[in-house]
Amino acid sequence: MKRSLLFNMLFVLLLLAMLPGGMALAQEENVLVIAIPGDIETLDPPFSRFQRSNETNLNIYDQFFRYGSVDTGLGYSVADTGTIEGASVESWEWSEDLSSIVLNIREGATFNKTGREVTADDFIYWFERAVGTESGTLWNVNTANIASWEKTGPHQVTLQFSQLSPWLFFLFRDQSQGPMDAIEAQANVADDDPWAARWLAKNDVGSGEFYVESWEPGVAMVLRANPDYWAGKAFFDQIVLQVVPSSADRALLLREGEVDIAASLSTDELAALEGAEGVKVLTVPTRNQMIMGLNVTEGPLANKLVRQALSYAVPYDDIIEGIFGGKAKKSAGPVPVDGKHHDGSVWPYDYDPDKARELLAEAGYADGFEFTLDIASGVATTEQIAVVLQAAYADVGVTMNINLQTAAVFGEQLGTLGHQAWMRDLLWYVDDPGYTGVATFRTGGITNWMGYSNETIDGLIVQMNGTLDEELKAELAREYQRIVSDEAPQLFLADMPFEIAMRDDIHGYVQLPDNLLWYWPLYRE
Amino acid sequence: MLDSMREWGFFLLRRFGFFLIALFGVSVITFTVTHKIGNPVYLLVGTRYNQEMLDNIRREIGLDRPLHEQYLRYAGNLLQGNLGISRFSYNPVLEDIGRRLPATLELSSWALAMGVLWAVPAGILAALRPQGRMARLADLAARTGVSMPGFWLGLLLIFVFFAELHWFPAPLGRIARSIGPPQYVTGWYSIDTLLAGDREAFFSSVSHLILPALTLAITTSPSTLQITRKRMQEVLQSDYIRSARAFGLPGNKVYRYALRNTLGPVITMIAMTYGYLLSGTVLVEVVFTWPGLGLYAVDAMNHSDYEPIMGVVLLSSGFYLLVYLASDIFNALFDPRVRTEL
Repeated sequence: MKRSLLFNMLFVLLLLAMLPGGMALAQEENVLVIAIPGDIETLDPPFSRFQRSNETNLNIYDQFFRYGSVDTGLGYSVADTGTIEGASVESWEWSEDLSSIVLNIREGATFNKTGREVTADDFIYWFERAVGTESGTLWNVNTANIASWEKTGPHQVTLQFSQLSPWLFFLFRDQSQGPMDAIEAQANVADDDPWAARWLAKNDVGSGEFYVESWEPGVAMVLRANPDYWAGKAFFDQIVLQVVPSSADRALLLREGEVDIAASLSTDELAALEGAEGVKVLTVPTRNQMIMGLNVTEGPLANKLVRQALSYAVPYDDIIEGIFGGKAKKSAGPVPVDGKHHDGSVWPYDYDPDKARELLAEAGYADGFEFTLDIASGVATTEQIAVVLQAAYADVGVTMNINLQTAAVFGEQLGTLGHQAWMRDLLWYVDDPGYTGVATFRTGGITNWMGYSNETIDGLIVQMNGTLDEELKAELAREYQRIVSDEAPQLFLADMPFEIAMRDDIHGYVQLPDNLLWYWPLYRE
Repeated sequence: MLDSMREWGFFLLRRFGFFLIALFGVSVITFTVTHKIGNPVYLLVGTRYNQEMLDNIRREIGLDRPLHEQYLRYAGNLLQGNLGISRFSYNPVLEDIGRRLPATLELSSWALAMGVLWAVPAGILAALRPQGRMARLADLAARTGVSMPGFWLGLLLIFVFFAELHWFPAPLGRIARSIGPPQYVTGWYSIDTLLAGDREAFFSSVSHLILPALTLAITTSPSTLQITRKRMQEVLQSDYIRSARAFGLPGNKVYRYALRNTLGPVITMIAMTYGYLLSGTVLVEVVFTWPGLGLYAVDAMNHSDYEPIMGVVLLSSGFYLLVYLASDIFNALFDPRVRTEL
């Protein structure tokens, strides 16, 4: 009888052991729930414009390169922009004269949905699609000075440059720069959609750390970890991107443990969550600057002395303490305080209303003048800063009107130089003063929304971007910062931190330069 | 008989004509306003563009044409049932609306039912005993409902019933994530789960519905309550009810007559409230993460996506106008004078 019982028990145990995963003895999956404010826009990286889509694409496509990271000892790591690691490109070799580069594609990496191996053909298709779609990806290709690309092996592509390419690695770790399954994409083209943009907006064909398991628009997107990812499977088997439009709800759900991470909370909500049981708030320095741009082409703002006066009249400490709760850093010029080759010694401005009045008098505006600051509605921080500035400028006799605009009007007027003055943040995800210079302070630069033009600055930018000698670049950058600070086409109001709230058992956070959340290194402990 | 039919024919033609003119007016206003709030091209390209890219997008979405030409093209598409393509979701707007509409319809219908079930009896009781407890309670509830913003009440209910008491699930959509949506039949989860015979899913969908529906019911039912009470009081004081009482009709019968005469304006008000609910759930949908038309419109506004905004506004206006049309026809059925009015 006893023997029979023992036999039966062994038999049952054997049966249980043979059960497939997901049944009686299944291990619980590691699931990370992230509350996000709105739906994901598109899964087609070149067309991704908003933070949520950028973040999703970063995690489902395997970019050409990635940054290394450094543990800060403060409970998070930061991307080390000085260390470039391979991702879908495993290794690379520059030509001696730096006019070309050979990219060796990681062998054995496969696309998540089809299981096909990633090859040079997928990379060539990616470049062709960049040109064909004329999307932001093409802008990256052009800005990296890539003149041509060629398949030089089944897992090798060679790029030729039209001139030195100082930002190749920075630009090609961007979320839009990851190979896609060319065969799958081409199988879904339409007569009026030769690049399958409509299909790819809803379907992922990447080889990244995760892939899309399900997507209920307006409700949630579920990502599943790639079990064969070349760097190893992520800790979390599943990432749930739960749409929760109300930020008050996101904060409450985090506090209640219903979600693990709450994205895009207001400063007040983050402050209220600090100290809440089971919740931690990470405050991480970034290269995101709050900037007030001045249209230098006409009126009082065309006068350098006036712009300097406005810079002296900014109550920097009030902004940092009153609006950012002391968590922002005082800006000191066009290169963020934590940016490469920043030199604070050439930044002349502190809050000095007397000096501001003096400069205004010298400029012929002793009785003050009036101008309008345009800001996009719905951004609480810019509205708060604008009110502080309005009071400070009134104190030196300058009347600043605040004009709230819809995002579309604001964006249009930036592009057409329609603002007298504007305020917004600019995040410098490429950590190079030459890049910020070419975008913002070069004559006709893409974000030169001030109409600023200075031949010396244009020359310095060309020189900075024409050298890989970091010492020389630092020297050039110093002069560049000195001139831009002196001419003050922009007022640098604060270097803002990035804050994110999560459950205190979530670890492994890595701060990326573009403030996107990278899911792969996260784990629960 | 012929005269009456002719009268009805003219009446319906006139009302339907007004309906079309109003709809045309709405389409012109919506189109003009959305196209005057800014050029979305710069938002579409982000910060990585050149002039050629700008021109291409402008041409692609037709913004290089004069405004009247753009409108004519839009109106032509409308007549073919084409509301355009969302530049955020990349779907035809009609398809997006079709997917979101059942969620809004379900929420609005539940809210209406909850509101009516409370407001009509409360209004009647308050009218019967103007100094009674029910009348005072009705006053209080009506004032509270009118003065409290829906989104704030929603947050309050979430805080109390989810965060503090844990009576209801987290405000995360229409059904628990672990259960998932039922097979599509009507698009109403509370019905589809029943049809599927899935009790757990049914209770989950209903528990997700109650707080948002209650929020809407509290904030929209006061008008029904007030009109029921006022109309019932008027009827109770009317000559024919006084006569009925004088003739010694039993109380129940008198009240039944009074109720029947009260219901006309009450039903009209309920119809109006439903029209409002179908277009006015935006903030409550945001607070409860309810994936309906309101949330769709908010997403579209956040991304300056014209077509969905125009589509939702047009649809909401259409609902309203239909409700007014139905209300006119309903009134005409009971009051022949309405049929001859201009």
